[in-house]
Parts: sequence; structure tokens; C-alpha cells
Amino acid sequence: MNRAVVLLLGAGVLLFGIGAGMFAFTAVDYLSNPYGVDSFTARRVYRVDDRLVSYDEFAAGSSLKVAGAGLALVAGALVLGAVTWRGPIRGARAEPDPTAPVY
Amino acid sequence: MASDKEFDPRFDPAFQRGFESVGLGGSSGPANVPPHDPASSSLALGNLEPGADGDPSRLGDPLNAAAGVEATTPAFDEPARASAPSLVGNPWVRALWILSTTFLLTGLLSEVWIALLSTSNTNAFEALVLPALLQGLAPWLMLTGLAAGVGVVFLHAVRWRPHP
Repeated sequence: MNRAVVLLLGAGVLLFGIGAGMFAFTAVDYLSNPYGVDSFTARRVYRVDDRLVSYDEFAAGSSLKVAGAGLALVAGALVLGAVTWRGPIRGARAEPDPTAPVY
Repeated sequence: MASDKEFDPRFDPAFQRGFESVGLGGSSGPANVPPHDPASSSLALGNLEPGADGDPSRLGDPLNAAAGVEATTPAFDEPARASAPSLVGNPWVRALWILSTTFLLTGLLSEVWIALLSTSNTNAFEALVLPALLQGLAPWLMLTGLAAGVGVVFLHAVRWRPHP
């Protein structure tokens, strides 16, 4: 396999993983730190574990951009692999033919 | 006037512009007409003259003419075509088709799902986090899927070969 394809594919998967991790961290941090219910704020109120809490609007930040860039890199690696593919390796035999005559 | 015109020596003057007027009583007459050189014209027009062996049966044979031209001038696009392998059995192309379809469908379904989620706010994750996730990823999915689809179609077009 072409080294550039492997590098691009690895970079894409790595970026997507980093973005997904960043998003998961942001989401868990956001959900685990709710605000109390306040009549003077315009936050929406939800019921969590039989108590009322409120949240600000969720902002994912740049995590989804990083993950999306990783997806784009994966697609680019596939295109590069398709362009540089030269077919199966010719002349490679798995097993020598035992019935072949020996000269 | 036709006498001012020059005839290309590679081709038969009888088939060049102005030959009729020269031949039909032009002032300078056909003396200005250069002698036709069949050797130079055979490459440009094909082998329309009798061959070197003088066989008149080969006169004007387009197949022989084409073969003669092909034998002397190599086809310039053949090496490029021969070096580019066919896409048949290319696993990357298969993966690209799958990825393109999956990304496009996921992006479109995400957009629909966002609209459905916004109407139901059962809990904070579904009402706040999931729409943000889908809204952030859906454009990337659709654009990447579209680009992958365009890329694989482009690749098929570049590597396309006519059936023999």
C-alpha cells in the first residue's frame, strides 16, 4: 500500500478521533454542570434524576470541525488509494505446485 | 489571381484552391504549379498513390493507408493508456462508493432528524447536544460524500476505455 495513502488515512482517523473525543468531553462537561432553575433567566428547564435543572445553549466549539476535517482526509485517502492502485501483485504464488515436473 | 497563389508541394495541386483557374487559361498557365511529390503526400493523405511495389489494387485503400501511417508514427496516447490500469477489481473504488453513499445518506438523514428533534425536548441531551452534533457534522458528511462521489466518477471517466 502506498505510504502517502496510509499517512493520509491515519491522519484522517486520528483527526476524527480527536474531534470526537473533544466533543464527548465538551458534552459530558456540559451535561454534568447544569444550572439551577431561575425564574429570571431564559434558560430551558429539564428534569434530570427527579430534579429540575436548566442549561445554556450547547456550543460544540471546534471539535466538530476537527472531526469533519478527519472525515474529509479519510475520503481523500480513499481517492488517492484508488488513483495509485496498480492492481494485484503479479507473479506472487502462495504455494509451489507439487505436481510440477522437476527438471 | 490564381497565378499569385502558391501550391503546397506536399499535396496534389489538382485538389488545392485556385488550380482550376490556372489550368483553364490563367495568364501564367500551369507552369507555376510545382510538381506534385507523392512521397511527401503519402504521409499526410494516406497511401492514395500506388505503393512502392506499384500494385494498383492498393490504390486508395484506406485500411492500408491507415496501417502505413500507424506503422511510421506511433500512437501518442497508447503508452498512457497502457500504464493506467483498469478500475476493475479496485478495492478503493468500492470503498469510495460505499463511503460516498453512506456519508450522503447520513448527512441527509441528520438534517431531517434535526428538524424532528427540535420539536421534541424530552431531555437535555436530545434537545441540546444531539442537534448541535448533527448540525455540526451534517455539512461535513454531505460535502465529503459529494466530493467522494464526484471523485470516483471523475476517476471512472479518466480511466474509461472504449470496448474493442
